[in-house]
Amino acid sequence: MSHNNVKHICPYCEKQHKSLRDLKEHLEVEHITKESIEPVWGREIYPPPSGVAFIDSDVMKCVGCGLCAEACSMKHFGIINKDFARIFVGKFLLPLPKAVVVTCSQCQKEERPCEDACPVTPSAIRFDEKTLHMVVDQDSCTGCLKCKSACGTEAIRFNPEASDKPLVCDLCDTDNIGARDPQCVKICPTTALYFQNQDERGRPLRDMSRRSAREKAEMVSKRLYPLTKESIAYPPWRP
Amino acid sequence: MSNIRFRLLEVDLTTGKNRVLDVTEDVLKYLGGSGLGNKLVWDLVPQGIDPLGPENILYIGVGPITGLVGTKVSCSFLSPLTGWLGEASISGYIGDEIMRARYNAGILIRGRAENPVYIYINNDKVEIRDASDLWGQYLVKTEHTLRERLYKETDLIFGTLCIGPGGENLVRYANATSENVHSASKGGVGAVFGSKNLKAIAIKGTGTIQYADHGEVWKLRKKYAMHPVTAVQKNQEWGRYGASDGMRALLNYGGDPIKNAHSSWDPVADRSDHIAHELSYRVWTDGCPGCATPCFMPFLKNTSRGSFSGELRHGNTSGLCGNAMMGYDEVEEINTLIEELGVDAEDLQGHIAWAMDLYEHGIITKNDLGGIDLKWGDRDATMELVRKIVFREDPAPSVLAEGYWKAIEVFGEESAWYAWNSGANTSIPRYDVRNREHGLGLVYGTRHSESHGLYDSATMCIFSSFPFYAIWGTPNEVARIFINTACDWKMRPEDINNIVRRNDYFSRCVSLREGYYPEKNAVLPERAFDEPVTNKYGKTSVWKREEWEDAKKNYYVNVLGLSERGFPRKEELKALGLEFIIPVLEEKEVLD
Repeated sequence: MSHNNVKHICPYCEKQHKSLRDLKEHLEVEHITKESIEPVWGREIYPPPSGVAFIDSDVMKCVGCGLCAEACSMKHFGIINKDFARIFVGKFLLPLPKAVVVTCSQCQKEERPCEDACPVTPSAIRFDEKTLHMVVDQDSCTGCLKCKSACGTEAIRFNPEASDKPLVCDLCDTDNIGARDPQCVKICPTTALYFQNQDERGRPLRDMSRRSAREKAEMVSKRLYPLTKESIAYPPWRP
Repeated sequence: MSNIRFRLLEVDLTTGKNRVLDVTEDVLKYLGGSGLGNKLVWDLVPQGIDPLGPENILYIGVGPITGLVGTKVSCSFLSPLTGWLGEASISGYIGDEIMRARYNAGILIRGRAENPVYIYINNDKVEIRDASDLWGQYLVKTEHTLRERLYKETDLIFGTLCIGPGGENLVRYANATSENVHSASKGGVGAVFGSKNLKAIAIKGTGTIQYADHGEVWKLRKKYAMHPVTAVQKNQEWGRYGASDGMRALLNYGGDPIKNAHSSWDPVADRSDHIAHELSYRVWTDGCPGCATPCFMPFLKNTSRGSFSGELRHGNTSGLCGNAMMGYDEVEEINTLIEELGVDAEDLQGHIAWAMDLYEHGIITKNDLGGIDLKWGDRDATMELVRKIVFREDPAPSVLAEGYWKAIEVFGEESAWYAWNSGANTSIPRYDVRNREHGLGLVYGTRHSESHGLYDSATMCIFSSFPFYAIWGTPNEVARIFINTACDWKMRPEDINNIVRRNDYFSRCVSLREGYYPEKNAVLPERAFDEPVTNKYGKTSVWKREEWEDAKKNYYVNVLGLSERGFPRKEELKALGLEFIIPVLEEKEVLD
């Protein structure tokens, strides 16, 4: 990418600026005010971008505390239960333990298998073009869970105790009015979760984000080459 | 008072039956974890039995706030190492799974299975399943096989607590391991598993943990997770080195025993610190559920000899660094083997260093060791010795598997002077007792088990709790605030203080009933008085005998609240509501 092609677009109002300095000034004056943020020292304090965006994860930073999932279930159901969350944190033995986090990447139109798999017309699970995130129509959804099996990311969660409909990340805009308040990004102590802005969202494929937990774990396990999952030594200790 | 009931799952391996008991009254009095564990051991274990017999119990305890201040599980049993109360705590996902399976007072395992089994717990479904194909396998293979098998069966990732060959062969300091790196180590908990023919416990809970008010609990949790002090702890040394972050200071002031505690400084050990470990070997950071300041730093090392991985932290296998005259180069390979075999690295490394010392002084010979030339710092010889200890081959290694006391009986009196063990038959791995820069000399000298009245009964993690102190105050206050919020109890500060004192007292009373005698057992190794050590800045430390006696008395009276002889006081027992203990201890004449 040549330096001249860098566009300084504001992630909140999509206004283009001449330089990074201009963009920074604009952000500080227009968007990052004291009212709009909950300042926490040592972590990301920017409010969530308003345009097309999704929550991405840095798997290598994830330590598996599960606070994101608890924050999610707290926001949507008012109770603390990781299985009620729309984000998934799994612990894998590769053979060393590694936590892997999976989020919904709010796919583009061309790559939305959940929407395609939905037997209802129009799709009960769909991307809301106004609020720019996935929603599940609670009235028309039949609870067949075809979307869940279609999603290669395992980002569509289901728990019969929570709801008979699938759960999908709505960027904590629970009332679907465009008021985003991502609890998982806010609470993540290692900043492994973050909002991807429009530029990132524009890429045709977001490889790492659109893999299931097991696939991600497989990739991470390459770092432990040549260990196999059955022993922490290579050649393996044998009885 | 809230309507939270505390459910204890009782599994009897002899009959194969299980039932759920309501122990809410006991939890109100003792909390969970080791607090309730003391009570269960006192009530259910007959006095003077063999810890490796079927009468012994294995209580895997959680408490009202497991998962809120670190996720800790505390196991209580009668220790095969000492014959007194045994306590071993473990962190990791296992505690979370037990809580979410709604056994919020833990799991009690009794009896003995005929054949190797594992216990399968999927919420309310409890089964005792055959594990003969897993028996004899190394730990990582066991855990991987079990998790994969159950994933195929149920589509759920199970939490497992397994033993390796160490527990199967009843090594007196064997451990039980979860997620490869977390282990319940002390007191020989793995041997208790093995004596019950219990290879593993696989548990999955998908329910919601019961709290009186989830919103109020979440407020505390959020405050902790987003508080600046948590961010500081995570972003500073702790985030890079985990629980090893005090290692440099300890090496500097000579707090580590070196060469079986004959010295307190060694150039190779001095270079094998947390900084070297982080820069050269760490692969990533791993934590427990609910903890924002994770401290597990697994390592991987590729060498021409092979690849080795695991988790080293200050206090366990890295104790070998100085004690057996090694550096990280050797220790990481040995650690990998120890983790696979499932023995407590802390105790094992003490025994290895002791064996090297005895070999050097001709008290055990090459023949006794089965032909191992056990020189100081020899990696291959040490690995061979570890294998022999765990599989109990050859005379000397199989005796070393029995712990210091039995080994001294066999090796003869002259071996006792070289033994660097605490009064409770454990090795003193790091934290040289002669050094006063830390206060652990008294703790090692006077301890009877690893049980701690607050941390182990409230199942709080000592490593994750520093930010909690900065936010909410003393450890007791942290426990009180979280328990009151989670259970909607109305505990006052004096109530939690009483519970902590009661649990500390009770655990000591269990040990006293089983033969612990302070005047005989609350001792330091002889060398703490006879052999001064000098740190690298020239400061010498050694105990004077009368100084030790004074310090011990002061510790008994002013810290533990005991009498000067180390016995519980009768009026204190009455005040704490432990009257039922008095007749038993009076009979044994261990009461003041």
